[in-house]
Amino acid sequence: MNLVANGNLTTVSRVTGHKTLSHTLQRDFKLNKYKYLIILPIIVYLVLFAYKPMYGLIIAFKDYRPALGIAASKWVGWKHFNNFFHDVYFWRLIRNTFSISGLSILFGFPAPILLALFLNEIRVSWFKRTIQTITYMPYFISMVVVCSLVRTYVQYDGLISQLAVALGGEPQNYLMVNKYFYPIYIISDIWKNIGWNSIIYLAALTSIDQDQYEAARIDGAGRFKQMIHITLPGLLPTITILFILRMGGILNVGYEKILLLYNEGIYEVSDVISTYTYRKGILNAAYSYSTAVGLFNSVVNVTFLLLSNFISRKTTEMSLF
Amino acid sequence: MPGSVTRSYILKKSEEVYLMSKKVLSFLLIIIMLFAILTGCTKNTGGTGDDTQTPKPAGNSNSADDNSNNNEETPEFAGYPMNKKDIELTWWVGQGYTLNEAYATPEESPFHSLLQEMVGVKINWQFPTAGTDATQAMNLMLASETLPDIIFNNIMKDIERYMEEGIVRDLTDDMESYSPAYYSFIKSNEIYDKYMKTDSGKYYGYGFFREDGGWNDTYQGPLIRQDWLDELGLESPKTISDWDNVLKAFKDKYGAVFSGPWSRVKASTISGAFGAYTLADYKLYIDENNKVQLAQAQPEWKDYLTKLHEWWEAGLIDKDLTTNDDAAVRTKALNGVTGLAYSSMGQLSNWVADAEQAGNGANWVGLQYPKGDDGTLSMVFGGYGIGSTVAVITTSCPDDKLETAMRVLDYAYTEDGNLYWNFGKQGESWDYDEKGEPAYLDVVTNDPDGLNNAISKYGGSTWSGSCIQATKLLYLKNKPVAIEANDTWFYPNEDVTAKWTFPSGVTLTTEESNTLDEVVSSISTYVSEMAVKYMTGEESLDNFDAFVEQLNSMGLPTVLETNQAAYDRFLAR
Repeated sequence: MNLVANGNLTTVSRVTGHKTLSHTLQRDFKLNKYKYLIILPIIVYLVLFAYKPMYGLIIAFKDYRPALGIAASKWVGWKHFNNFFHDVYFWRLIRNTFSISGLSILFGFPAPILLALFLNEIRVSWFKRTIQTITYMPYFISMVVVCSLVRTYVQYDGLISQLAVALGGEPQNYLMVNKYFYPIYIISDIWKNIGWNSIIYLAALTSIDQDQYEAARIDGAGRFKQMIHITLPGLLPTITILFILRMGGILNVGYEKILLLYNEGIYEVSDVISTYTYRKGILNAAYSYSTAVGLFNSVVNVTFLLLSNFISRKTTEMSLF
Repeated sequence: MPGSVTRSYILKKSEEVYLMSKKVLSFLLIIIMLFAILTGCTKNTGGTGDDTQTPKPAGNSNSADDNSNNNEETPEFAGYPMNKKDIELTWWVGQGYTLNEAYATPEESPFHSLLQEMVGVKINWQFPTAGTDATQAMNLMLASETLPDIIFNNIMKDIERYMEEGIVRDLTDDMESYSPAYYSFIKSNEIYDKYMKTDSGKYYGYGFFREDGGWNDTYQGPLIRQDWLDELGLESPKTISDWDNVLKAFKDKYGAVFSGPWSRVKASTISGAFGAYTLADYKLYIDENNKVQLAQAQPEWKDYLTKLHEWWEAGLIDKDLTTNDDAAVRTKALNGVTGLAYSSMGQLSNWVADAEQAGNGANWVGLQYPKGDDGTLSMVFGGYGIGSTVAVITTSCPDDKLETAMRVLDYAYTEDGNLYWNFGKQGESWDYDEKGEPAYLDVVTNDPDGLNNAISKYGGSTWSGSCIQATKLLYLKNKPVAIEANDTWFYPNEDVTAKWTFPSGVTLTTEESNTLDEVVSSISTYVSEMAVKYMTGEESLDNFDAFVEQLNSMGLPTVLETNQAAYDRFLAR
């Protein structure tokens, strides 16, 4: 039987007539060897810096002492995990972490989308560019500076208090009251990141076929209907992917920001897993304990990632993998 | 054959060359990218200047003794510099006398390069990379094969573990002979001796001491606006009732409140007047029976918080107290939001400078710690003047270098060495003034980076070091008003500044740390949270007994027992 090079990857064995994996691979390699060579450095990087260090996770099950090294440190099994799960504050930490994370996603995720949609509607080019620049700028301000500003504004005699007094309320230090912590955290988060996060949505918007808008206009759809029926569905793949990725970071509450904003008076709502572990780590260099907590974090994150990916695939047929 | 595309594989010569050069180019790019990745794999020795050229000791002009033996088989110690040209010591510094940011290498730094001259030994200085955490950097370094000869960091607490793991050398046998100055120094004071020994009585390292004992350990205390007191015709408040009056008066006349940066206030502030030992910080203290207690579990602490709550309700305390930092309080001091405050002597200098600049007549001074109405003063913020940093010699230092290493470290505790470590080389950065006291020369006082920065370029004792910090240094560093404030806080109360402290020299065994690990952070979170709630009134102090019950169920008795055992061993050293 004669075989012809027709660019098709699946090959047929001369003898048995079945497709075999090794033939497929050989073919693939021959056709694409330069592409593989190009990504070889990336693969080396991932193996060396992302996969190989995973071996270090084992210290979560040991009493790691830097001087003894990983191999020689004593094995303790689940001790650190038990320590963590049975801590008096464990449920509070979980509750706070999920609350902050959940509320961040609930309010912080749609915000850049709305901004992108809004910017998309602006026809006046210079106005659009000005708004864009202004909303991008806070992203580049250091977190420490932002938190310092926030703390100053919410002081007893700070800006927010004075506004409240002008509207007939009482002055207070908002960072001393439990119920204001989440709004302060989320609003400052949105303010800082909305511009930067909207970039990707704006980019996705440019890939929507303009002809669809024309067709819609001909059919008599107004601006709002156009947005609902063309823009949003056009953005849906991007939104889905970013949402799944976001869910994969559900337990990664930005602990630096909380450290800078919280104080003992609001531990009740602001103490999260990472800040508590940080304080615990100051007592001794608790490498093993914090690795165990980190491992727990990662396991929960991956579970959520897989779950949301699965749900997305079943409902919208779009998924990350 | 139908449907197939035939290609001609015979190319023109130029096309061939073009294709070939493209292949070469892509190979080159791949190789370059690979190299870019592999640069990340270079071994980080954690130090600077591996192949440095140290300045040769420039003659013996500074040595007291000119009989330096250099080519003998068994050299006898005959003073500094020792002229050991063939010996080089590696010295890793985690904090304290690290490289001043003005210098890129230790050769440029006067302190580090001249020290080699003064002791007559080559030193290969190593520092953690700028910006990294010292303890992390040290742990990284400890995991490597060979260690530096000398390590300086705050490892006193874990020293037993390091000696068990065979990192730190036991220096007991040689301490008296090879480090006579240091040996006699620590033997001169029982507390010093206890701190610098392990529970089993071994000597291992060279610590940081303040010359006068605890003076500068009481670096923070109450501050008050003297001009307001004068205007109101009030005397300096000495008791808690006085404080009641002054706070009310300041509030009525100036609308001012009591304020301070939370990180300083939460330590204790005026707890001594109530017989208490803390405000919000989790704190263990030693009572009169040498028993370890938790400050928050005592009824006296309840009294303290009751008073604070009273003041809070009356609006006499800054509502931003728990979110203040140094900068916020400084602004409040300048704006007259506060007239009675709690902060450090360093901050006081800033407030005084601000007031001068603004020309508002504010006269901030240090105010003595108040006593209870019945004269109680159980404690005042302070300590013994012993740091938790220590210089140790590692087991990587071979036996033939041991004596040299110990003598080099001993230098700081000799008379000449003490002057060098504090002020630098005589004639270069300082000289004696008309009163026979050390005074800085222009090169230091007129340094564009500022006086404090300049001092640490020439001396090694500014922050902490393996040396004795001279009181004179602190006098030269600080404004007179700050020094006066420190005097006001320390001298009247000297006997209650330190004896209540749970010594930082106490060491825990591995099992003890593991036991404590499990409960201390939840207890410390609980007590500091409740302290704030009691102060603001969110929780009522009527539930104090339930609070103590809760502490007991969280494992407080175990914590006290474990720490008591460790403390008893410390006392027995």
